[in-house]
Amino acid sequence: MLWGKELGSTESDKVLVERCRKGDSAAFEMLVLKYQQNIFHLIYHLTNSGEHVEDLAQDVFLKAFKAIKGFRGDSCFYTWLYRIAVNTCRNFMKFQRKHHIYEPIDDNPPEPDDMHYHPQDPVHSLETKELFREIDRTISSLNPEYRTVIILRDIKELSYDEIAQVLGCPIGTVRSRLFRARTELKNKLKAYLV
Amino acid sequence: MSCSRMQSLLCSFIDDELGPRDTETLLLHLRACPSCREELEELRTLQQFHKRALARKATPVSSSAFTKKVMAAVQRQDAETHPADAAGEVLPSWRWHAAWGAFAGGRRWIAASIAAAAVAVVVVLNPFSSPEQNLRPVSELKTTAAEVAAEPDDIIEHYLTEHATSVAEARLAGWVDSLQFVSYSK
Repeated sequence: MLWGKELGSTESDKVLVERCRKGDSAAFEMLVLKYQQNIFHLIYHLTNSGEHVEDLAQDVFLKAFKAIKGFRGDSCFYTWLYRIAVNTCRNFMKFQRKHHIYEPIDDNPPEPDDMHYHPQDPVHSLETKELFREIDRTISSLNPEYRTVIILRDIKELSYDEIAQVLGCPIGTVRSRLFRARTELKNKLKAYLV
Repeated sequence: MSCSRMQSLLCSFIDDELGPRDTETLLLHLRACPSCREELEELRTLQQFHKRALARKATPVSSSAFTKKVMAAVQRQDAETHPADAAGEVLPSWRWHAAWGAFAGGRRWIAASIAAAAVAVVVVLNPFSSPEQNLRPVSELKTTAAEVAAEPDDIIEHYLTEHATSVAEARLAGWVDSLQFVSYSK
């Protein structure tokens, strides 16, 4: 899976977006194919639940299709798309809270792809596994603003400037949220890092 | 420069987002400050761990099936008029699912409250509920006193028919006295 700039031919995105704006739905289909896994991944981490990922992703792409004629190209297409995804997830979680719909946090996530196993040292593997679970739980417990910047920076590898565009906030706000989020994570996970 | 000020720069430094002047200041400070160096190492270790912990695939969804679904929805959106919410936007699909979940799930009192409210609306809007408001003077039923005088019984019956009420129903509802509106002196 490619993130952020690696997806980059932003030039090809520009061509596809221009064709979409002229009503070429095949061009939009190309953009859906290109970005769907990224959007799934982003939604999964923002909502910390696999249950509504597909529905929410569909909503994101539909909103993008509706709004693409108004996309001026001030930012890259993917930061604009991520902005739609972040807002969609935010609205979804607000809706859940308002209607008291609480879903269990995904406490048994799929194993990371590059799990650091030591065949000669199963204890170490177990400790690492437990650490990853604890990290996952701690990130889930962060306030949504902090969790969002952590996900956009450490998973999506967006620059601070891109994160500011996605969130619609000044770059200083991105810096301070990241600093506070990481400080909170460090304090909560200190025991595991010793 | 204080350690707390320097430590606030560490995240940006790790992310390679610190300007050249701040980077120089920070590096000078780190050479002389073991506690900030330790803080930097802890942040780096944590970041590596949580990147790996979070590097998980989302629930796998078939790429072509999802794309087909989106494109079908896009074509529908183009071609059809969708039912809109109060703000005039198409309700996202998860809201339908979630709304149903709220009714069918653990919060049954929500459904009960809404049902009760719906009944209350019916009762309030029921024309039988406020007979006085529905009564009109006889003069509106007939144009002249003579016409009124000519067929008094018919007038009453006509009035009741207009309001889709039988005498029996009117009596039952306690409106008999209200019928004095339609009574007249000959």
